Amino acid sequence: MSEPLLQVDGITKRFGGLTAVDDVGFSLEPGTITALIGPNGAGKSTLFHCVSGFIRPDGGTVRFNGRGVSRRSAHGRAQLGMVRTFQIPTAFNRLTVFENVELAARDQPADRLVGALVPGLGRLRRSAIRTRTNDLLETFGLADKADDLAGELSGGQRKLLEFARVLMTEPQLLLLDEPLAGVNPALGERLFAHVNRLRSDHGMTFLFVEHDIRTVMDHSDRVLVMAQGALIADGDPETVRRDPAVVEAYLGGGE
Amino acid sequence: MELLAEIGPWGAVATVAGIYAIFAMGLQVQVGHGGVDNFGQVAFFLIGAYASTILVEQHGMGLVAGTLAGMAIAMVAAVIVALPTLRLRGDFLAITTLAFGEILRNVAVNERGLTKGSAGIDAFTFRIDIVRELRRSLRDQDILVDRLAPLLILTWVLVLVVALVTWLLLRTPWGRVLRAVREDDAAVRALGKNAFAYRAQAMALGAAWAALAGTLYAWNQVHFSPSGFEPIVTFAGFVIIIAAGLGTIWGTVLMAILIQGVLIEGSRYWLDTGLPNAQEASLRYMVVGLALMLIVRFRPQGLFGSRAEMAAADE
Amino acid sequence: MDELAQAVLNSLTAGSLYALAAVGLTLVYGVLRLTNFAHGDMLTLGAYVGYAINVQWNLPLALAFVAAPVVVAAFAVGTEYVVWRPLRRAGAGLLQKLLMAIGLALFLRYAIQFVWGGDRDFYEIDNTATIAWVRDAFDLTLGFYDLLTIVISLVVLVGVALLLARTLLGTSMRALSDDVDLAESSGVDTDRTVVWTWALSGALVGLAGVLAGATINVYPTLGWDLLLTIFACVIVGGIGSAYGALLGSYVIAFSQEFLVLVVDDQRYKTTIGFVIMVLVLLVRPQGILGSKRAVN
Ligand SMILES: Nc1ncnc2c1ncn2[C@@H]1O[C@H](COP(=O)(O)OP(=O)(O)OP(=O)(O)O)[C@@H](O)[C@H]1O
Ligand SMILES: [Mg+2]
Repeated sequence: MSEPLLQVDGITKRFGGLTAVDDVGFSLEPGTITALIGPNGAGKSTLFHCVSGFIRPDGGTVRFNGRGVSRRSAHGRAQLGMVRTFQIPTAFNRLTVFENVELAARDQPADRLVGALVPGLGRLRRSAIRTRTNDLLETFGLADKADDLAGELSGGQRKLLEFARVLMTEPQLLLLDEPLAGVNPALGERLFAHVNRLRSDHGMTFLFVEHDIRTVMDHSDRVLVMAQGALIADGDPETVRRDPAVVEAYLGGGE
Repeated sequence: MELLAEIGPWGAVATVAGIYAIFAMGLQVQVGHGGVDNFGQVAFFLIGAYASTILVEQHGMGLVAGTLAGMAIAMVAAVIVALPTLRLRGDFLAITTLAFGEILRNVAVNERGLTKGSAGIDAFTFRIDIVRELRRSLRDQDILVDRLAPLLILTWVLVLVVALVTWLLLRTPWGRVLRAVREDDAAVRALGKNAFAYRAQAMALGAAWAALAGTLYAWNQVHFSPSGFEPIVTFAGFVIIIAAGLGTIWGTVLMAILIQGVLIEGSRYWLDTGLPNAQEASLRYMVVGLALMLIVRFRPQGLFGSRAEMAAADE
Repeated sequence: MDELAQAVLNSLTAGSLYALAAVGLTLVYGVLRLTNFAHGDMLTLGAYVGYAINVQWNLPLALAFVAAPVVVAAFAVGTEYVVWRPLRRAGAGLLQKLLMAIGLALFLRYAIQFVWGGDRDFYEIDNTATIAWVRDAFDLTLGFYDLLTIVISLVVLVGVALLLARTLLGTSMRALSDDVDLAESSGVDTDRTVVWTWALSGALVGLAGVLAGATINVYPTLGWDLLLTIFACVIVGGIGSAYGALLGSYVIAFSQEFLVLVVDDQRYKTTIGFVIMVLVLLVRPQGILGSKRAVN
């Protein structure tokens, strides 16, 4: 069997007395779309932080593409192709929507200080990046906002902008923390249509957190369920939906 | 022919204003664009002044090479300071950088072997060798120049170069990522860019400008001592960039002229309070302090900046 | 051996002085999350109030121990009404607050220099007087004003501890340091507590000013020169924590006195304090006794 794209083992994260993530392990095969669900406070975002390198877990390892990345910085992991979004969407408010997406492109010679000091360096690459930026903005219905400041966007638009921005980095694995929160349903459908296309055309892999059970059922091949820090179920959407432990977690969780 | 044959007191004031414009430009890169609240900028000013002077006067290095070496040493020092401190929260960063400046000043006072301590050190190569030669050869062609004119002209040429380079750099993709870092550090890291490195680079670039200003200060003073590197120098730089507006480049130049030039250095020529000199000097700095307070309270965006800049200065 | 014993005495004196200044600084930080760069110059103001009383008006210095705290406390409360409260209401951010404090510090320092001039001055006291029995019994030097510093600091800080622990004001201050929202929602009168915090902070540092004037001397940058050392005390102990500031003051004072023996260069005393502060910030930013919350 080929090596999984992402292999997570024994991740544990404690905040004081609270164990936010409790010995969680799973792996993702390339070209799959996996949902991560669980009641509020289950530890989903914290797990994302640990996997993407934004916080250091108290224990556990992460392997990506066959190499151990547990000691890598967050930007180091992103450079390898494992890119995440945030539950509260981030945007560079005083940059334009266009710039927000454009700056995310990798291999821009002039976005390093040394490169920036050489006039004209990377001009070709830059025009390729421009084209790609325009395409992405088109895809997410942000084209007519290209020159607005990102700070002027609505919450849902910021989610889309963030999604466009991370796609600009041409990732292999995308970790999406509640990508649909605040996004209107029609655009949400478009977003997932795009996810599907990226999977079939480019073999991209997705792990997303989502609360809406319909979206999860419709769009994922597999579902991971967390409750109180632990992984309590893992399987295809139908099976998971009927799993008594999952039902218990949602009903008994005192949501 | 006469070319700035007599520049008068205002010429001297203009030189100092230019030096502060370069110094403040460095601070503008760090604070206004990198979001690094560096309260120890005077440390790099000191490094530039002492390093270039020691290399030129005691080790026979050329003026240009000495200046560049001073800037390089300041950049290395900036990165070394940045490594541990940039991870600190805002006010701790301010306190540590302030302390760094004071530590260096202490060292300059105490390490007499290197710096001649509080007695001070001479940097006369520019004024004596270059300027004297220049004036002599120009006099042969019947052109008279003031002995302070060459530095005045050099300083303002460098002000324009520094401002232009800064302005251009900040418009490149590098400058754009730097602005993004200031707004949202985590989001930049999530894109695979080393946010920390950008801040450290902003710190280093700002340090290089401060060191250049320090070298010019040394040439202008001819003789200088550690007392010229008190924290007030940094604060004057802050008054300039805040009054101009965080992020503005050309505003910084203008404010350096108005604040360091017209107000701090120049007021003795246009303002006659009838007070003894020492008291008049105190009064000047009271006004500077008061001005800083009023700007911060009533116009935090400065004269040319936007309010959002000041708000974004806080992470 | 004698050298070490003398260093202990010196540390106690220095630590006691630092503590008086540091506790006020840390209380303001705790309650307002404000790094008051003007704190050092408030100390200078206290020292010059002592100078005015003792030298200019020829009155006993003892009066200054009452007058300086009152004047500096009044000044501190004044800044709350004129500067800090309006700034908070305007929703100022961190950089704005830092620069405001710097502006205030500059203004105050040069106002002092405007009034009293830039020279070093001395109180009309005999500050070479030493405690005879300490000299006779141990062959050590303990100046009269050094001893006074230790005693006053001890008495006053015990008083502050009682105030913090036993009074409603103390409880309110601790509650605000802990969690502003929770404190406010449980009925703490924020405005009033803040005003009293300023008063207390000013009184303590004003007192420190007179003692510094008596044991060091009086000059316009007296307080500014001490400020970074006081920051070191506050940060080493844990910013926001009054007991931390006390502990940090003695830690810094002892480190300075003893490490200076190692370095064998008195002039590096201040630098030693800064270096320790920087090391603590890097290793344990919440300090010895501080809470993580205060630094996040
Ligand atoms: N920095 C932190 N310090 C202390 N506790 C934290 C911290 N971050 C998260 N927690 C706690 O850890 C638990 C897990 O939080 P997390 O945000 O991972 O949950 P989640 O599953 O993403 O929830 P939601 O669906 O609401 O986003 C919660 O109880 C939360 O309060
Ligand atoms: Mg979450």
